[in-house]
Amino acid sequence: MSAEWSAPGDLAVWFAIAGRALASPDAAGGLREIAESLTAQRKAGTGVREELAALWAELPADRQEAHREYVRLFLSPGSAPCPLWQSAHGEEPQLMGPSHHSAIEWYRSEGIEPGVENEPADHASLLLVFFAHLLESGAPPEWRQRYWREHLAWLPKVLARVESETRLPFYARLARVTRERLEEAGASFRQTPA
Amino acid sequence: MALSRRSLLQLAGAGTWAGADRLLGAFGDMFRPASPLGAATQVITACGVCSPACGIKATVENNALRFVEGLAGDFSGRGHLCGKGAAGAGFLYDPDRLKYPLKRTNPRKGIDEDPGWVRISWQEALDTIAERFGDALKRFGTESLLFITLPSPDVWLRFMNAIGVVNRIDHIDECFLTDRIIQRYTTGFKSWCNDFENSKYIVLFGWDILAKAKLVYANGIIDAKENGAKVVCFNPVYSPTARFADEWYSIRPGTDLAVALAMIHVLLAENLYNKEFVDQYTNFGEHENAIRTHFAQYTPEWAERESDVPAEAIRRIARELGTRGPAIVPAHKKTLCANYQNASQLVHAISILNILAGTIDRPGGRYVARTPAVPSIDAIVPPPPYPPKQGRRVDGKDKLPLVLQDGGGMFSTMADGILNRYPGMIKAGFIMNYTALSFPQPQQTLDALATIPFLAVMDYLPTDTVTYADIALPGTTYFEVSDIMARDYYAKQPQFVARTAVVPPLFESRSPGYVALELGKRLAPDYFKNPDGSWINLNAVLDERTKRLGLGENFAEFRAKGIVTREQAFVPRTTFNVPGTTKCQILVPQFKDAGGDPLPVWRPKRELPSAAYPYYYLTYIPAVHKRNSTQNNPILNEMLGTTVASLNPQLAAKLGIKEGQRVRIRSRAGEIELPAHLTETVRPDCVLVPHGFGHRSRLLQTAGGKGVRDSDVIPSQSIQQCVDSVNFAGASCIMDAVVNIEPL
Repeated sequence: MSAEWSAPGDLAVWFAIAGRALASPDAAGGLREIAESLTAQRKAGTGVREELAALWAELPADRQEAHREYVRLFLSPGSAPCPLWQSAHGEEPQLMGPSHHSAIEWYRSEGIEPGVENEPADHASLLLVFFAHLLESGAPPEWRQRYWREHLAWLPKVLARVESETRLPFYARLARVTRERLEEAGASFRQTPA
Repeated sequence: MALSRRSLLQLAGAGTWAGADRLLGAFGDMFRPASPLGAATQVITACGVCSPACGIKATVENNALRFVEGLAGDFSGRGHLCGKGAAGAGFLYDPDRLKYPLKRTNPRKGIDEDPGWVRISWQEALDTIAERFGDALKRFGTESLLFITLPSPDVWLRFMNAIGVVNRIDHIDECFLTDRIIQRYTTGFKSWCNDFENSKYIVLFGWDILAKAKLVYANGIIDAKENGAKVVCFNPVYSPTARFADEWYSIRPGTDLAVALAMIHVLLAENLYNKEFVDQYTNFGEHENAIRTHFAQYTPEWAERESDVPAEAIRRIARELGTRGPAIVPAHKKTLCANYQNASQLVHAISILNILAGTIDRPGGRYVARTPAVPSIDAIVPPPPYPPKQGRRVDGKDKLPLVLQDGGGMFSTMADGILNRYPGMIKAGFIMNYTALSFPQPQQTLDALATIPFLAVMDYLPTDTVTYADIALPGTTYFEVSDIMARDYYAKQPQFVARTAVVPPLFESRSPGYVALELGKRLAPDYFKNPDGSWINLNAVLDERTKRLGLGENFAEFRAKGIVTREQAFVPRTTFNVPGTTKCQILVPQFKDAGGDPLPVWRPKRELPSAAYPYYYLTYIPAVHKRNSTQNNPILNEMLGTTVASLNPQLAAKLGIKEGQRVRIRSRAGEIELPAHLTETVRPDCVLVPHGFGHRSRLLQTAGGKGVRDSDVIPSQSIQQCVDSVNFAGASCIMDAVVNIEPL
């Protein structure tokens, strides 16, 4: 890390942007503007700004290339097994498994639910954005810890696979930084009794 | 004390956190305000794994299917589900599902080629398909289009009729095509219905009725035994049904016809047939001399030499069949008996046995399903006259008049047609829910598909066939569509079950009906408009169907009922809907006109053991799977996920093969390598391999790369081979191979 991150605000910005970027192959479009708005509103620290700038530098000029890579990494799991639905990584891989229902319970506890009803609620993009919300909105530490354990502990391993599988520096950086931040968060939680 | 999430929420003061909405506000398209929390609901629907469509009670929560169970009051499943039905959520929630329309960017096609998929919109996908199909139509005519799909839902049929498709191909030649054609001309109806519960004598040629695992069959034959029926089974394999039967004969593969002919011989020679039925309701009287003379040659002693079944047993079983009835000799679908080259003759002989038993549409016999016709889309919104169908048929079925008339098939001749008979003719293809494993010699099929300049494939999983697609469309599972299911399996009275979309289609998957309608709007718009000029709405068609059937004012009303039964007494038929007559036919003149045998003639199976290929090759579908479509279901795959070659220990000893040792099985078509399993349940001159495994698509994480393709060693055929071998009802011969076996 080249500069300090002022947790949890900077982390919230990063996880929200990462969640957005992982939502769809089109998500990279317009993401930069959202990120600039968020960092400005929140007076984000140098660390996250530098990482975001480095990420934008990796954005592929060829939009179809990003499209193809997103599909290869996340939608054609046999080619590069990085599906982003939590229940696809459970003991019995499936969609809409127990973590879908659990995630919906978390979202509803905050008065929200996914914008689409015909896709699993435990997609990494939703889980990361909601985690950003928990970080930013002052949820009790034990609640954040519990959410991390229930819904994010699986993700660093999958992001590590993205880092090794991807052909695009953009997804490699996105996955690496997100994985490192998640692991740091996990480590800090492990130091705190549940 | 651990705090519950709710108490944490209370501690935190829900909705009062500083800035709670600020960040999420920037992500409004990902989240929205929560709707009122709904309790879990129970929805009635119908299983889609196989055709009997057993009733299901589904529990749904958070827009997700949580649990399925059998539906009480449904006479198909009788309140239960088979293993495949119970594992249904595994199809719906398979993580490998195709989720969005995809476009190929790598023009090279092959199972190991990365297609370079990019995600596209439905609009782009449909526009591209319509453009490519439209271009082929304009430049090369209707014969240049290939549709590998069933003609259902009927809006697909309307679409194909509207653009004049001649080359629609389906798997029916591997299934019930022969049975359906022969029954039409002998008894006048296609029937899946056997009144087992009232039968006293049941003779099964090859059909492993219990391992087929359709509950409606299994329940029926168990009822029969409980009601005192005797069950006799001819099968080269000591199958689950053979174990259940009172008598089992390890018949030589492909010789069921000899035994059936000899049983007819005995019934006629000893006048043990049901004279009242035969005299009144069949054409026996018109052709008695010819019929008696014909069957006089097929003695039990002759049949013993062909089949290895003792003449004494054949004679006794025939006598029992004639005197201990009501009796049934069922024939059905993909059975060991029905997919040899002599299947047309065998099914004809079986039909004659049922006629002689006098149980056609009688208690204890085979009967016509009391299924009311569901109004077609063409009945509800009459189309303009369809264009004539012109052009060459790539599968060549115009050479088999009865097959052409039937409309089903032919998988077994398609690859030969594309590669050899009419190379370059097909310019654009559409495949729906079929994979290459369905075909004999699947690699030949994939090679044939690779020659088609533009290929669109719709499926819910990324199968081997999908990897060859230019456009891949995500299809729905049966939990995501709605329809009216009218029972036709064992339907003694009309019953309807609502097939209900219990959850919204996952991701961007769409139903086949949607695709047919959208392609129709683009390629033949006049056929997809209502009389007032508006586009046809499939939900409105479904509502109208519901209304015309008297099931409710609209589908929602029927859905609330879930299941509707119309009680009625079973009244046996006195006339039969046979073409050209109202009687059942023993001698069928139309078969002769179509290049076949008017009476069943003994003909050997296609492949007989030789020095190069000394053993019979048999395949079967394991009870926990449906053909090749369920192996990626994690639960079913865990129950049976790969293949072994079952060999008799006697044969294994002769060849020096030990349990678990890998063996190479080779035929004139190809070879496979897999572990051996030694078992006394298979004849010493046979090897038995399960069907449905050996998916090559790397996109199938559960099934991909597991096991071998049984059909790699099953030769495909040309249409001329069908003609030359008097295979006039188009059997695919998918059981008809001989092989060499060697240890590795």
